Amino acid sequence: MLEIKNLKAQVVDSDDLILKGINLSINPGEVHAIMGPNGSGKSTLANVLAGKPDYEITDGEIHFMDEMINEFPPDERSHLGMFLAFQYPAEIPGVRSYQMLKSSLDSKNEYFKKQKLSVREFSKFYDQKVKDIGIDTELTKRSLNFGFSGGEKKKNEILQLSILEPKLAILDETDSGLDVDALKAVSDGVNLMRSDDRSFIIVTHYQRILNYIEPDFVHILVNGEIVKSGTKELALDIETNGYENIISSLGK
Amino acid sequence: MKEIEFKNISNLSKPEIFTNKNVNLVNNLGWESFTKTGLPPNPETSELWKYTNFHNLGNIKFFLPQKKTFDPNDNSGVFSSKNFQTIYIVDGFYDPEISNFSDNVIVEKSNELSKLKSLSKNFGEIAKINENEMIAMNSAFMLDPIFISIDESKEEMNLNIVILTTDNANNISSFPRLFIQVNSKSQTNIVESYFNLSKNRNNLVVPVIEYLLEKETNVCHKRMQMDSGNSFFFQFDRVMQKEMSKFISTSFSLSGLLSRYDIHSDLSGINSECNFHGLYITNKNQLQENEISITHSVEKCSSDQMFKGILAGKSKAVFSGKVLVKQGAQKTRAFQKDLNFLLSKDCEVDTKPSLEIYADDVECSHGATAGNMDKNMLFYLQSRGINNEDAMSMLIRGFAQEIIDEFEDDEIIEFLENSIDKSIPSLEIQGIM
Ligand SMILES: Nc1ncnc2c1ncn2[C@@H]1O[C@H](COP(=O)(O)OP(=O)(O)OP(=O)(O)O)[C@@H](O)[C@H]1O
Ligand SMILES: [Mg+2]
Repeated sequence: MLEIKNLKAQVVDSDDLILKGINLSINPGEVHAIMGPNGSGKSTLANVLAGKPDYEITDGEIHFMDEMINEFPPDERSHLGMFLAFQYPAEIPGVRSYQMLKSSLDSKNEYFKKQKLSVREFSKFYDQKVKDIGIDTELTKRSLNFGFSGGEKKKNEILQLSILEPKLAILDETDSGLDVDALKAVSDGVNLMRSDDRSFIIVTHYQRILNYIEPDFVHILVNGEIVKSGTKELALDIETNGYENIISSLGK
Repeated sequence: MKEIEFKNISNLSKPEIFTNKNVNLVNNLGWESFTKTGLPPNPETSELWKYTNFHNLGNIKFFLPQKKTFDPNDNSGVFSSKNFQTIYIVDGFYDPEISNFSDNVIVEKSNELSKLKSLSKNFGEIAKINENEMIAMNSAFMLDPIFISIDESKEEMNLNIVILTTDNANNISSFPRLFIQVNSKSQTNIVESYFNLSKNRNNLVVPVIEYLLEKETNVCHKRMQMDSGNSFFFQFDRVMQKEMSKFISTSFSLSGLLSRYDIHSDLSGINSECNFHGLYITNKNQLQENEISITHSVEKCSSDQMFKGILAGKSKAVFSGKVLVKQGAQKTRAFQKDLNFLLSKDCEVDTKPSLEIYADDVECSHGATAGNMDKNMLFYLQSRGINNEDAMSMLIRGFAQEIIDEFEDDEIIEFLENSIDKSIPSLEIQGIM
């Protein structure tokens, strides 16, 4: 489903590589956790996968759903089934969640030359999802993410995830700043979405979310490189021992 | 049709004589004043027109319009609704045939004043001729001044004043003139909607409206300026507010070639309040000036100005927000904000806040911003499968939405949303990414 080969990337017009040769392969249905110290490049990787124009790929390839997507614009990646739940979701004045998601689905259906949902069909679908995720309906009437609390923003990302039904969902620290109940709600939302043909990348600093959403693999990203991969026990090890051991064993 | 060229003022002749003494006086004084100064600017008013590019206005041949029939049912572009009582002013002439309103509204032409005769003594007192050349010009060339009086009513009162310019073989100049009295305790929504039905003419439209708000009135003023993009449009609203009156105004301007929205309220009775909020959209080589000013003459009044601008192409906008707090106007609250969204590297906005305060117990603030398309917002929408162009439109529309929602009337909101959606694709977005 996703195959990243020797991916190197930097901020456009800079010459400091942030991603220094990432290799990662994800099969349908798998859950991969990515952990790593602050500033190691986790969000950059997520953004480069989603096609953020701030970054340029200087080497390597991203293959997604049998396409080489290095040059694909973000909207087309979304149509192919990529979804990024942002670490810091943007606040968008005057645009309502409902309106944005209707446009999202409409463009996706147009892309695949499928019939668009009618306003009524979409409303029903949308209202059900809002209920499932447990979002206050007052929030959905406001501008997107505008004045939402940190936790409300994260829940709203999960709402979008559940409506857009992607093939690959990248959750960039969706668990940060959530209270116990919200973490449970978010994890439940994600678990409901798990299926044999849908994969997840979960970027996190904490073992906690991985208790709810059990990963098949855990990768440690340090200074733009994946320096260690393992199973869920690796996350437990990080939780107790930190990155110190791993970094020093790199011998740098 | 009578032809006029405003640069040769010595060749001009006064078009109309009015039977009402006061109206005639205003007309004569306007004529005297305008034929002395001619078109702006002149040395005394140069500050007022500092940013105005009058293009070749003086050289254009305009024709004074003649009364024409207009069929509202044929013109889907003009906002009309069953939920509004409507007064039509067509090329400066009141059209009673197509207008309709209830018993608590009285409309009289200046030459046929009866019930509203006493109002004529206030005519020209709220919009004063000596204030500027364009008010003088309107007073000199007005053909059909109208008086309107609105009484308290049991039901919710929605009045739509449609001021439109028809399509003609030539450029026309029209000078709509209204005097509106809102009587004690009445609550009313007054829509002022301006439409230009000729796409290509360089018409000149100079409306002047005087509002007299009696005690304890509550007016929601909703202004829509739907221009074709090629006209010269100078509008002057002058508001006089008595005790405990409210004038809550929201404005939407789709700019002409040169447009000026010039509104002033005098808070002359205690505990009165006025809000001027608005949105302007400029494109190509258009200029939109917003001259928004409030005089706090007495204590315990509040005012709030909040304008937003969307600028594209090589267009320019001016926001000149003035607040004058007179001596003794204690416990004044006055706020001012101007937020701009610049869609091209060649557009320009000049924000000139001016606070003149002669009282000491006053709470005032002002702020202005000018920003470009936000890359993170754009990426957010694109990552949700919305293409670049649609994402930009969504952000432009989103920026406007806050003001549009303040119109608080579903039909108007829908009308404005449609017109903004129609105009977004033609906005010239350049060199900002
Ligand atoms: N647009 C940008 N402009 C400049 N520097 C950037 C940009 N994006 C990322 N960087 C830099 O690249 C490095 C990696 O940042 P990134 O946000 O990917 O880290 P992270 O692993 O997600 O950290 P955290 O755990 O704190 O979220 C940092 O040093 C950051 O400052
Ligand atoms: Mg990060």
